Parts: sequence; structure tokens; C-alpha cells
Amino acid sequence: MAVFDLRLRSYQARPGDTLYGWLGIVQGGATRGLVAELRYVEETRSYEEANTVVSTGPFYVGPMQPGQAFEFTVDVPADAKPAQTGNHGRLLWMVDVKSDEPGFDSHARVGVEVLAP
Amino acid sequence: MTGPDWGFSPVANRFRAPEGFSLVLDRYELRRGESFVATVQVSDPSLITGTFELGLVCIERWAELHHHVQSDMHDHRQVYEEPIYQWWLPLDRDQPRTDLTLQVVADAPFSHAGTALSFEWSVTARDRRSGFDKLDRHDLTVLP
Repeated sequence: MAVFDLRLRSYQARPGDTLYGWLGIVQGGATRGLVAELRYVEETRSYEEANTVVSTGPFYVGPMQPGQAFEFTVDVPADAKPAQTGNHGRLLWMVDVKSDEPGFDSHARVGVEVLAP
Repeated sequence: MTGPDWGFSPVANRFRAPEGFSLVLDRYELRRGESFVATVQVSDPSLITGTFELGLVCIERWAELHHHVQSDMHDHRQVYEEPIYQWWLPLDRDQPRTDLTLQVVADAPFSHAGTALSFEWSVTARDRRSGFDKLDRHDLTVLP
């Protein structure tokens, strides 16, 4: 499995903004596709589901070497709602970079704060 | 897609339909921190026999997965719900018309219809009795 260093230029955004991401390869491997997704996650004690997902689509396919890095952008939807915490779950935004690999995929995730409009 | 009609819902709705009163809102969508006016009209006070009240309610609905480690039952998903915010005000059945201005506080939850977690707002006028309440309920969309 690959290991990534995922960073964003800003971890705060407003609806309609563009997020700029940087993905460094710490431990390499081979990927059938690197994809970044901005996900609005519904998290409860036993579930994590996202019904709003903005994907970059695959931005790299092939061998990944330590020291290699990629940049990507993803747009925050114009109607994006902020985070919210209830008594039994919460809504939150995250950027999830996935490397499609044989067996388990590799992931790197960071949280994003989407401000109320 | 709807399931088979067992006649259950129409019967339940008939028991729960308001008798002698009605509720309308001046708006059905607003932002947190904003107010709306709920108007309750009483056409026949003699039909209102229980506790007459108006409520602004937000329900949190969430899914949980239940594991059955020591049985043959499959894991199953169960959905629960609980009020996360509710504010009930008494109503006077002898007033033919009551206009109430209600505010959704700025730090209240906003509406969200999800698959694992939802927050659903509604405004209800009800004649609360033992057994079936008689109620008039309207959904309210609360924007962030």
C-alpha cells in the first residue's frame, strides 16, 4: 500500500470556491488511478456515507515513486452546506485521495471547513 | 415506488387529521436566525378536547448497523429518530385566529435529508389527547 502526504493550500472554503491540493508520495507503489474526492460525509456511530461527492477523476495512472508529487483542484459546490453536529452523528467535509490498487486501496484524508454562506 | 395498500395509512391519517382547527405558515423555507409566522385558525372549539399547542420541532434521524455476533441473524441497519430541538407553546382554543412569530435560532441545526443522518424541521399544531393526537403538520426547510 502506498503512503501519501496530502495537503491543501487552505483548509477553509466558501461554497463555490476552488480547493487546491498537493499530494506527495511517501511510500510508492503502482496505481490504477489516483482520484481526489471532496465528500460531504454523514457519520454516525456505525456508518459513514457521502451523498455529495465532487471528484477530480483519475489524474495519474502508473508507478508512484517516493518524492513524486501531484497537484489537483476540486470545486466546492455552490450550494454546499457547512458542517453540523447532532446528538447521534455529524456532517462534515473531507478531501479523500484514493489510489486504486489490487487488494486494498490506499487513502489519504484531510478535513475541510466549509463556511456558511 | 409504493408498497401494497393495506389500508393502514389512510386509517391512521384519518385518526390524526385535525378537527376544528388548521395551521398555515407565511413561509416554508428560511435561514437560521430568521423568523416566520404560524397562523392557527379555530373553526370549531368544541372539537378540541385535549391539550392544544403549537410546536417547532427538529428531528434527528440516524442509522446504525447492528451486528449479531452470536446468532444466525444477519447484520441489519436500523434507523432511529429523536427530537434534537423542540419548542411547544400553548394555544387558546377560544381564539378564532392566533398569529405566532417563531424564530429558528441562529445556532439551530439546518435541514439535511441524508441516508445515514438527517435533520428534519416541522411545525405542528396539535390537539394532544390520550390515544391519537389530532394534528396539522407542515415541513419547514431551514437553510444554513
